[in-house]
Amino acid sequence: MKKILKIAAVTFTSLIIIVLVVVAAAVWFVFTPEKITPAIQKVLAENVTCKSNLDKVDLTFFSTFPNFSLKINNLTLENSLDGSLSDTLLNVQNCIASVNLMKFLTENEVVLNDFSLKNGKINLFIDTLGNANFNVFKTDTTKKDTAAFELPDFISVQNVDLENVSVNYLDLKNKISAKGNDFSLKFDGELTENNGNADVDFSVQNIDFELLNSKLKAQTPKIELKIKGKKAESNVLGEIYADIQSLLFVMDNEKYVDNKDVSIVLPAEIDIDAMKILLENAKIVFAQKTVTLGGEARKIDENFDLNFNFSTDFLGINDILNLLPESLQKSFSSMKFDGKTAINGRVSGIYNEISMPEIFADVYLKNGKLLLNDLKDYPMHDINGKVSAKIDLNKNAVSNLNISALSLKTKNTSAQINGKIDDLLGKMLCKINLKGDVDLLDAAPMLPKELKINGLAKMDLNGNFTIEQISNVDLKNIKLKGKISAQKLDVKYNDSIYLAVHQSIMNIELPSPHKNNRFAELAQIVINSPDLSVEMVDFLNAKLENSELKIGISDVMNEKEPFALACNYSASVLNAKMDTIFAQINAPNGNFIMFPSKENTGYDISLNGTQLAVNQGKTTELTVEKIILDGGATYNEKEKNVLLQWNPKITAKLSNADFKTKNLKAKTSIPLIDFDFSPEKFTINKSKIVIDNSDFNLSGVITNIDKYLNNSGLLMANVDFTSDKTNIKELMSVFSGFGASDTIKNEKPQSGGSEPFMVPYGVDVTVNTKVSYGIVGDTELHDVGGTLTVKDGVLVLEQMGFTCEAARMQLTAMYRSERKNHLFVGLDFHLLDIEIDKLLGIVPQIDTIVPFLKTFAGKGEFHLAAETYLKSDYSLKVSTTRGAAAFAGQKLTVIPNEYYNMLAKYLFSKKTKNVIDSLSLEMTLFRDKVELFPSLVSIDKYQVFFNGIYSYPVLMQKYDLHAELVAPLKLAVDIKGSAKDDVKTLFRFPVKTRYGNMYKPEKRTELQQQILDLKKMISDALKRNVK
Amino acid sequence: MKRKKSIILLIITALCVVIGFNSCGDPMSFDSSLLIGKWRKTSKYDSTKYEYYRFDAGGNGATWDEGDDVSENEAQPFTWTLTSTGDFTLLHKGEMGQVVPKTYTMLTLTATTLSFKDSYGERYTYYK
Repeated sequence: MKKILKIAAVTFTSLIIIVLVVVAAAVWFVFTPEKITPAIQKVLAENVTCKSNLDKVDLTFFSTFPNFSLKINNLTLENSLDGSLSDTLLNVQNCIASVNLMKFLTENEVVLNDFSLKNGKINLFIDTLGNANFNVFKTDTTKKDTAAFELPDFISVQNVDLENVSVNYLDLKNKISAKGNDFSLKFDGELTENNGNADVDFSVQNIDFELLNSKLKAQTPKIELKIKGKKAESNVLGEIYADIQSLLFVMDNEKYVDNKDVSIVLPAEIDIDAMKILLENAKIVFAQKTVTLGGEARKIDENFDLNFNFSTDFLGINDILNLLPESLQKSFSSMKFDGKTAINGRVSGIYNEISMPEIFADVYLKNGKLLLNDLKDYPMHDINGKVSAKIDLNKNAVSNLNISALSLKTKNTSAQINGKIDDLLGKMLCKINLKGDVDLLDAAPMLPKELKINGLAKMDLNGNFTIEQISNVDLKNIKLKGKISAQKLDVKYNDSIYLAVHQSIMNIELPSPHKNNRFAELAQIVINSPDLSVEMVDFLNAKLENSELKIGISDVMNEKEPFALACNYSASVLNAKMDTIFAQINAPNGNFIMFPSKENTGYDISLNGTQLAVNQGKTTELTVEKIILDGGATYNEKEKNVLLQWNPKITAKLSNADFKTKNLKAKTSIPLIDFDFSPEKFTINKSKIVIDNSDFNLSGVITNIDKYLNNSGLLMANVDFTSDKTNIKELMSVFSGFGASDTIKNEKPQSGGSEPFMVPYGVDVTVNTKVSYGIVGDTELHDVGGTLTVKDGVLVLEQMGFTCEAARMQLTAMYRSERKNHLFVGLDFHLLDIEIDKLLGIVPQIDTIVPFLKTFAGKGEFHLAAETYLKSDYSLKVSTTRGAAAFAGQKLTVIPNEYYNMLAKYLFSKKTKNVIDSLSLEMTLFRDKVELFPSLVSIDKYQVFFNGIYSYPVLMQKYDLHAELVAPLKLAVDIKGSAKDDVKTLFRFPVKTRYGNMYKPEKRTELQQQILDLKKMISDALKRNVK
Repeated sequence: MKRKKSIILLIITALCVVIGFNSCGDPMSFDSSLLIGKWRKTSKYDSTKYEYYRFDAGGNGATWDEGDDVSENEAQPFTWTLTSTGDFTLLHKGEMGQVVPKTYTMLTLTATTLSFKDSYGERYTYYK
């Protein structure tokens, strides 16, 4: 622009010089064109380097006195340069200049009363080397201009008139092209040394300006410019009025202004000395949009210090957007605006080659509407408020935008926004505070289909994000933190999980500050609520009082990954219902994580709490003083069994638990239990259990639970049972019938009495026992140790060793409840180093089998192996009884009684002691008969065999006994009888002796050998299991 | 007095002859194959039901008493031996390792009648 002005000034100056030359010539040639014209032509030729020509010169003086006028017709300058559009530099058909000669001569005032150029063409050209075709004036380089140019005292220019002058300008060096037609200029002005005034009307048509190397182009069919100004000393006061019609401004093929009218009213005050311009109430009207300007600009050295204010009325946002170039409009293609906006602002700062002033603008929005393509479900309306922008176009500078009280509504939600946007011209980093009244139903389009939220909320959120992130709903990178007060909150997930909160306060943070090891948490929502209920359909109903839930959710926008949820919870009370199970717990706290995968859904859960109470119908009650639970589950709907469907893995510690169930009459309490549970393995790390009068510690491993539940395997267990005190009979009743088939369960006891103990089915349990003090009925046992095995309906006490006050004992017992009226019991019982009287006290039934044993005293060893089936009342099925017993003792004392005393009186010497050297008894029990195999008793000089058979279990109801004295003489007697029908006992004496040589191998008979073999067979079989 | 003595002597002589004839008869022989099968007698616990012995080939067998609410499939096993001379042994081996031997003398063994006695003279008779 400066270049154009320079060129115009040079052109104008050249014309003035030409005129002055012509005037001088006119003086010399006395005003005749015939004389003047050649003279002027000569002068012109002498002063310009190019070819010049003019048709006619008229000079008038007297007719225009005191003005001196010169009229030139058809003035032409031609200067050829390569590249120029034309050789003609200048062609003016009419050129008139009128100067007040008298003023100039007498008062040193230049008064140019008329100057006009009409119908001219100017072709200005600069080639690529900088050679200009208008550089045509000769200069005398031999003379130095030592005298400074002195302006006249007064310069007055009146009626300067340019009309129909067209200008072409082509600067190949600077790549500038400009042309315009029909230049018109009317200028009146005066200038003294200190003062002056000017009145300029200027218009140009068909201006075409182009920067050839930057694809910048400006066109307008017409520019009209009016300038009025007065100069007083260094102060210039004036107004500029400009109208630019249908301005087209194109840069890089982008239409920045597309045929828009621009008008400018620019009242200005200029301080020349201070190099300052002051604008007040200037107006720029661009496409009917008015911008009011005010302020000042000041030049300091090479810098311009700008400080301007600008403002607009409320304008249609769409109208403004339509003024933007297409490329900028495309930036807004993803959104639709409507409404009114007004802008107040200022431009402030230094402008120079490297610096741009800052622009501050307050933008007011009124009744705005906004629809984002990516948020079509959220048309925003009633947008009102103010945003303040600071735009800094300097390098590395940051522009920003402050949002003050911007309010909007969408659907049933209203919001107020405050905050700022940094890097406004770049990434647009938003730091926003959002306050709103939200209908949570409005959030539905943003949520996955499986998640439905209903309720009202007051929110106060602070966000940190870019516009791009918001447009893309890029929740992973959006930062959000704030509080929401919700009422009647109702959340549904996949129609399987429901959460209802009547009133709550939620704190939301995005991204979540919390991490879990199952999934990446996108956001955390902390819910504080006095009442909250959760329902997991067909699984769980829970209500929390005074709860705090810290909920973490996965990226809900990631459609590839199923929705996952983590919850850290605490409450004053939790009530829960699962199937028929009701539970309540005080002060529960812990974690819950749901992490679905493509195959199934996994859950982690931990629970700490006190005063747990669980009821299953009216059949089962559990209370726990303190519970610590940690575990997880994986839901697999393909499984049929509930436990396998959920596949829980749990670690639990319970303190002071009490347990009651309909099927368990015993009072059960668990002071402590620490276990790990999974369908594959149940590990009891530590436990202390009290059942009625038994207290014991149980630890060990139970396995195969899943196979047991699938009916594909036995429940297996290997546990250690240690107890200070155990009532074995009570404990047996606890586990009676576990796992039995319906057929077995439904069988009625034959005697109609109480239910017998039914050994659990489907289990393979090994219990390693260590009982300090045990009770079986009235029998007290100490230090009971051994293995109890229960395997699919069979109970085995294996190598159960214990001591009582009478002996060391070893018991292997088997109990099998094949059906309620057919109960198998087998014993392998060894009493070592037993006092006979104690033996009879411990096992009174021995007296039934071996009635004469009570006549002896002393220690011996007793072995018994027997089996029988029992009826439901444990009475014998005698037909099934099979047993064998053996007793061996040394130095036994015969307890004196009436019969012994009578025998001793007649048979023994007075020195004879009532001691027998040895006693070895073998007997069998088959059905209702006890058979005592021949046994030898030695006392004093007598050796007696005795044997027999007698009825069982009613002693001596029928008997057939044989006693045989083999030393010092042989004598035998049979004693036979029956208690029934008063049949008298028959004594047969003497009878044949049978066993006299049994211990004399050389004389032993075949029968005697057979008897010895049988005795040995019985004894060996019995002792085989002694450890 | 002499006459009395003569009569007594005659009687003793006659008994000896009778006994002598008897003892000179064929010894009793038993076919163990006749034992195979199920034998029964009236239960002592319920006169409407039976006590059973079942002898299987190979020396195994089982016994049960329906009168005592025991069915055949709940029967208890034993092994048996029978010599041709009538020594009849049943060995009841219990589940607890005990051995209960029972020795009998066979008296009658036909296709329909089984009779034996123990060493105390008690007879046991079963029928097919």
